[in-house]
Amino acid sequence: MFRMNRIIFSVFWLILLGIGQKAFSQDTTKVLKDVDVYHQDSMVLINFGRPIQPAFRIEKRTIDLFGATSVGDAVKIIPSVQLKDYGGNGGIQTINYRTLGGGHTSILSDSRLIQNFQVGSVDLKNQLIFGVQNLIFSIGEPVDRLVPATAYLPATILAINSIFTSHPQSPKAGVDLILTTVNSYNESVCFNLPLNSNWSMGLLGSLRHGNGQFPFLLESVAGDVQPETRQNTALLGMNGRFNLSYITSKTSFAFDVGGSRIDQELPGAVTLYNPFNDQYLYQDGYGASARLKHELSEKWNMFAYANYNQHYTRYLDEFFLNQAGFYEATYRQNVGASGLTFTRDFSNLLADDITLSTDFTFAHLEGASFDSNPTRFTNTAVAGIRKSIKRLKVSGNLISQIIFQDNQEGDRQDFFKLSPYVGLSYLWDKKASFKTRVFYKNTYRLPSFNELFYNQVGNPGLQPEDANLFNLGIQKSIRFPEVQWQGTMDVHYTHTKNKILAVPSKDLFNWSIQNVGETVAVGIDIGSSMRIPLKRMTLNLNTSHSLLQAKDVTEEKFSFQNDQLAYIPFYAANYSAELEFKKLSINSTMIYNGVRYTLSYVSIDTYLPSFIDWNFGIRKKLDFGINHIEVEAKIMNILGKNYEVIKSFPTFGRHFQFRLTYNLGS
Amino acid sequence: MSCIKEPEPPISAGQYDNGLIILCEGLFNANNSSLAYYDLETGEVFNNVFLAENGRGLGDTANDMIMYEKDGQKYIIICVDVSSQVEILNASTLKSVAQIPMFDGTNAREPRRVTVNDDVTKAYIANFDGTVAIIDLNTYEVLKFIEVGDNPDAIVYLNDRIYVPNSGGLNFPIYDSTISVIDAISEEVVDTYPCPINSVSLVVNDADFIYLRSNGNYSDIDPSFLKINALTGEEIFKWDVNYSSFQIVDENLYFYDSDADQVRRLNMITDAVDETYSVSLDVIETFGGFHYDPQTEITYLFDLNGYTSISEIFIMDYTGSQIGVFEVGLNANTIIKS
Repeated sequence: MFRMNRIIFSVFWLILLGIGQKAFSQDTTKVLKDVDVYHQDSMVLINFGRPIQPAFRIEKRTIDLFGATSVGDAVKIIPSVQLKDYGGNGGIQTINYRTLGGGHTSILSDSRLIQNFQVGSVDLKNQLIFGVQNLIFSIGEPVDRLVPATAYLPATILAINSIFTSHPQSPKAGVDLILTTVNSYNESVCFNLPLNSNWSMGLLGSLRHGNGQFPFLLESVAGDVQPETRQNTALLGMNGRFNLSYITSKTSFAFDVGGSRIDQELPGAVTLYNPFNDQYLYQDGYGASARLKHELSEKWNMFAYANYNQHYTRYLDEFFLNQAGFYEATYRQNVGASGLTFTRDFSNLLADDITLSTDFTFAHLEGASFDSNPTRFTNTAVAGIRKSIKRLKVSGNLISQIIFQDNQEGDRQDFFKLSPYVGLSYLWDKKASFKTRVFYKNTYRLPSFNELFYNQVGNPGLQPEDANLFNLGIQKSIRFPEVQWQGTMDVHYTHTKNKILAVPSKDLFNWSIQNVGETVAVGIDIGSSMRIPLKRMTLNLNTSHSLLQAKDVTEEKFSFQNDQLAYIPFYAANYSAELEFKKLSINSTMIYNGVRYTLSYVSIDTYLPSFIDWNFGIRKKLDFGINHIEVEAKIMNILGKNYEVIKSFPTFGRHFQFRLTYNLGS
Repeated sequence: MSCIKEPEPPISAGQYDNGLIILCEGLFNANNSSLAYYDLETGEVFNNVFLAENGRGLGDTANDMIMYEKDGQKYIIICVDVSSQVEILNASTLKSVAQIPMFDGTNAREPRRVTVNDDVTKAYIANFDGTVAIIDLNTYEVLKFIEVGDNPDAIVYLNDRIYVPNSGGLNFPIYDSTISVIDAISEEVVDTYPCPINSVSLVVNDADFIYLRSNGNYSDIDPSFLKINALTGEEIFKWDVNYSSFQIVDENLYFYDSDADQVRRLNMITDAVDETYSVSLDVIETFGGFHYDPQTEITYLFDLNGYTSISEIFIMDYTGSQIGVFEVGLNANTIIKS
């Protein structure tokens, strides 16, 4: 693989040097912009036209359709995404894509990179869903090139785009109330006010609360059940964000300050015969961010950003079997980042456009449970290129990263890593209705501070977790006079080595983090979206299916571990159907997840049964001039089974969700 | 639609009178502690037999199991740590006769180890919350909790005295370094012996000598092995060796020597390692313990296969040669012969 990287690296720079010689002297012709071909009304997005790699766009209406109350709830409809969901009120949600954990996904909120160096992945349960206009999930490279350099590195990119990304023509305001029958409530407000034709200011606020208690059937490994109530689940969470924006046809500037505070009980794993738990988590954070996108000239575009945020976490176990009688751990994380990205368009050259990007990140963690207080400086640089030759599109980038890492114990570690990406697509017709695409990406994730330094569990010698991704796909769209259909199919291969895992080292009670294991995942993703206008109604039908075989291919492993990787189903699917009649929507969504095992071998001890999460809802929209009201009622998890995504963490059973949304403005 | 195999449901063996009963601890927070049965006549293995016989799971992280005989009937006591339960089973049928919760209000006491007195009227449970519970084996009621040191991790009854080493493991890095001695008649702590930090394994022989293992602190204090006068607390010797997993059979102490990677035995009269017996662990990936059967002179070795896979029990003859192997559940930790 090193040899392949070197070849790609060499070819890439030769191309770039060639462009450089010509670019600044000859180019005078404007390149035609690509056009997205997805339809905005699509309920479940399918790949859209511009990017070479698979990319998925989830519009607000789709988010609402699935009854999503967090960003995590929404992304689980994307093929091959396995949301690690600890369920219930405030349970952590992190993304897992084609066996790659949360550290392999960049999270961008309005082009602002969200990072957690302590745990390495972002909790999507805590990402505001109200005020989100759409989510864009792309694989291999970002859809929008004007983003931080660091966002280019991971295997996948999740961009969360809010209402603040466009200038309001008139004052806008919204109130959103979500009530459930499982003692979980959510109230949100937003304002977006034009100050003049370019400046606007906005405010987003959200309050989540409730004791979160819900009844569930506790199953033992044999499937015998006993009724229980999920305890120690109270949550009080607040998020707020102030935004000041300046948007013209050539410039967009945004400044945000925001904060959050989450005060919650932790229900922990459900334990047979022991329903009690006294764990508690308190988190608060605040931050500020400024981003500028500017069209410098007809050819040149730039993006500049600066972010700072601080995050405080306090964990408390009020009853712990030590001398103090309790256990407490506190952590404070500081992250600062800034960077620049430039793009330049060309024509009649070796490239249509190039991207040059760099950024610097500083992260520091102080914690009572750390033997050291680690600091990490990272410089990431990206050089990217795109070229169209008739119907063939080529895209590539090379990312270099220099990392300096140190702590008080003197465990200094420096890295220099390269990460190449190359993709091709071919349009089979002028309307871009049929496309074939292929890409290769070599990427990695750095170990988190917890993995490196957490007490005796951490391992300062850890190496990055490397991944190689291959993808071959087709997409087709058909537009009859009225009926629209889009379909995609991707065959993919993911090879991961130096997997970072917690394993028992000395005995069953002494675990440490190690680079162990090598895995291979091979799969097929299929998606279909159809919009069928009927006489007075419109029918939207969507489905996606993922087949994934994931194996541990480590040479030194136990003969029993030849089965599917832990927590990865061989088959997963989702379906949605919506019938629109005037302003009434009747909809149904379903997510299916196949059998999984909590370890990589088949046994009743490790068995997690398949589950179906089926929802049914009715939504009515009422318009009174510029006042809009939406009322929605949903039956969630109709089958009523408290399925487990993570062993011993049951999710809500059958419950009702009522939603009232008021919007002022067009 | 699935290409993933479905697990096989557990099968009852009916009777469990002529075999090995193996306790498998499972994994923390996975509710998958289990019992396996190995039929010594047929060589057949039955996994998850507690489940098959009781229609419910054993619980989370079962640490210890002993067998006792009362009025001609054999019983088994199991400590289920994270579930905080003590299970008492009929050893012939593996049906539960009592499930005893161990809580201080809503706080789990976490039962870790168990022993019984000579006339099998009482069981003594070392709870990780720093108490010893006394259970009446006629009524299965908890009679009393006796406070000892921090996080006790072994318990032995001998001659009306109960010895409990206190590890203090949850006070890391400041471990406990005491042995609590309880008088079984008065049911009070009558003595507290000093010992090295983080002592976790303890046995006592008929000559009133304690053999003790200290785990050290996993960094700059190494494990050690001690002989202590059980009546006075006087240290007889302290060896800086890595011996663990003790089993006393007559005048011999069987142990695992992790430096030699062998199961060996110490003659407790001469305090010399008996070089005529050793079982190499060459076949073992992740050693989890052993059981020596004095009747057959067979040594059973537990291979935990990385702690996250099926455990294997290797059957080794007196010469240390493998004569069989069978598979059980996750993380086997105790064998008793029924």
